[in-house]
Amino acid sequence: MNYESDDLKAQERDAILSALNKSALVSITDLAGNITYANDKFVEVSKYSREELLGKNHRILKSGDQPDSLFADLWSTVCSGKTWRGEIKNKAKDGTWYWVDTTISPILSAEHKPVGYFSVRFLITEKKYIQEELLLSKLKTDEMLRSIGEGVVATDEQGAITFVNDAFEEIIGIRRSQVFGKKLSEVLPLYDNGGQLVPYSQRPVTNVLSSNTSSRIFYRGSYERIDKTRFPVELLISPIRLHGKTAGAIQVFRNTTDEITFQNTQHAFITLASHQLRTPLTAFRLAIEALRKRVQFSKQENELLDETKTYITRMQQTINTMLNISHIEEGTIAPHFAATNLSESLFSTLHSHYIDSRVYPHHQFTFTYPDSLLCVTDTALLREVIVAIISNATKYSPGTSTIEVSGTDTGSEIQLSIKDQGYGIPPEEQDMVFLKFFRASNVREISTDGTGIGLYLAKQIMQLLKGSVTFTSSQKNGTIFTIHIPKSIS
Amino acid sequence: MKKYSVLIAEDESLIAKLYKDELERRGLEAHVAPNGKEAIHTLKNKKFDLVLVDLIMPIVDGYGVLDYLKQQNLDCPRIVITNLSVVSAKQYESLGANLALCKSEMDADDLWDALKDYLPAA
Repeated sequence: MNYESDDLKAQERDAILSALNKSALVSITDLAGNITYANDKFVEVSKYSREELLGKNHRILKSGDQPDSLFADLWSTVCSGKTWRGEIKNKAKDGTWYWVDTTISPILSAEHKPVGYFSVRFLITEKKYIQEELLLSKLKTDEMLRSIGEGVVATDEQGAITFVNDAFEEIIGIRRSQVFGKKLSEVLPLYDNGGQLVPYSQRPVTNVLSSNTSSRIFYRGSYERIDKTRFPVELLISPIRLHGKTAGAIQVFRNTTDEITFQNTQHAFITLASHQLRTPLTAFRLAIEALRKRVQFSKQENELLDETKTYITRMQQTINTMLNISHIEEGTIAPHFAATNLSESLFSTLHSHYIDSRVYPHHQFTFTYPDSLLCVTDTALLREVIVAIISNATKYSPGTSTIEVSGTDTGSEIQLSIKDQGYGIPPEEQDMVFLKFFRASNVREISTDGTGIGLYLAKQIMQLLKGSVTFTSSQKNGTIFTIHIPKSIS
Repeated sequence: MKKYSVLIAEDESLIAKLYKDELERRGLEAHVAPNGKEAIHTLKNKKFDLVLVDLIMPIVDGYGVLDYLKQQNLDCPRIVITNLSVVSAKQYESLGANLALCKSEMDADDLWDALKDYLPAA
């Protein structure tokens, strides 16, 4: 020490002191801890005046929030002639607290006995505050992760497991201590929906880690437990991005066994119910036609039979809609895309269905379209969309009004529009139109017929067909639904 | 002119009768089998120009009848008539059928329109 300071020139010593006074709280006390010197920064931070501090015991700054053992250690260290360092929470004159990283060195006599204490303190209140926040946020996250039913597993950038939550242990049946540091593929074999093992190089977590982007991956497959039993899962894997690099990944997964069982039961029920409902409908409609071929009915009698057929058709459409939704939700409808001219493949059958067969005998229909409407689509599915929207239009417009169906080629896409002279959709309900089971409040009062699934179906099918459905509506002029069909599928 | 013969494998007697009446009205010979077992029995003894097969039937179902036709390598056209949902074209093609029709969506006239294309050329 002495050797070093003797080596310094006076100017250098001044520079050290000046830098120290700028950055640190410096004080000197006697052996009892009474303050004999305090620099400006010490005075400023403590909010006492220098006069108040000098001669007082350093104890006046004690916060009282730290254990006595800390101070016992401090005193025993410095009394034995050694330097002590630690973090101390002090209380300023106004009662606010501040944290200081404190170094205390005994001032030694020629006999190496302490005669006083020299201390240097750096303010670390902000650091302490951030640490507290971090701790609090970690406690919150821990509690959330412990409470949720989804399995959560975190990996580092190499794919090694660094964290799993309680649900992970419960769903997989493995303790967390058995998985740390291992790769997911070692712990949890993943199978695709075809039952094939997904190799590590192709697992979604590997893709997320290697892609070096912030995009997430959703995946459906099956996990295999240690006991070789498998269960279906939905996974969502998100990269952890730090400074533009992927530092790891978080994988959240859900056991979907119960959902799938429920869905299968639902689909089986719908399939059975529709079959049982369609059989009497078949008999009704065949019997009506057979009667007509055998008996000469009056105009009135024929009209009655027409009305009856309308009800058969309506029920038929409800069943079809139900079945289509079931198939869509089951994922068993795959569009068969083919190049087609909708003017020929679609409009001619619509014309015969709605005008010649008079499915809705009261409504008037007009069909307007050019000679050619070329696009690539699944005409049968597209027809379901139009049937659903027209059925919707007939229910929600006066019986004698006109429904105008038209097709146009805008250059970039094919648009089919269905315009009714109906009651319109209240503005505040317009964003709910495509939700399952939605029925507008103004028509619920007018008509009890309707299930609220037709437009939901239309939207779902148009998604499959890479197009969309939009509408404009006013309660004065009715509603125009527009079906957008891409001209080609890339 | 040759009289075409059609086998109708259909367990709902009213529906079967109305189909039969319609085909006979159009000058065809129609035979009804109320279940798959009888349909197969009939097919063993008589040659048909076309077979209409319902899928859900007692004793032996329509899948059984289609299997039989496939095994016997009988080349007569077969049309599935069902009230199950006709989801994908592939399903009935794999059963060896030429076409699948939804019964509740068609009148007797529609049935005739659909099947007449499958009758062998006179």
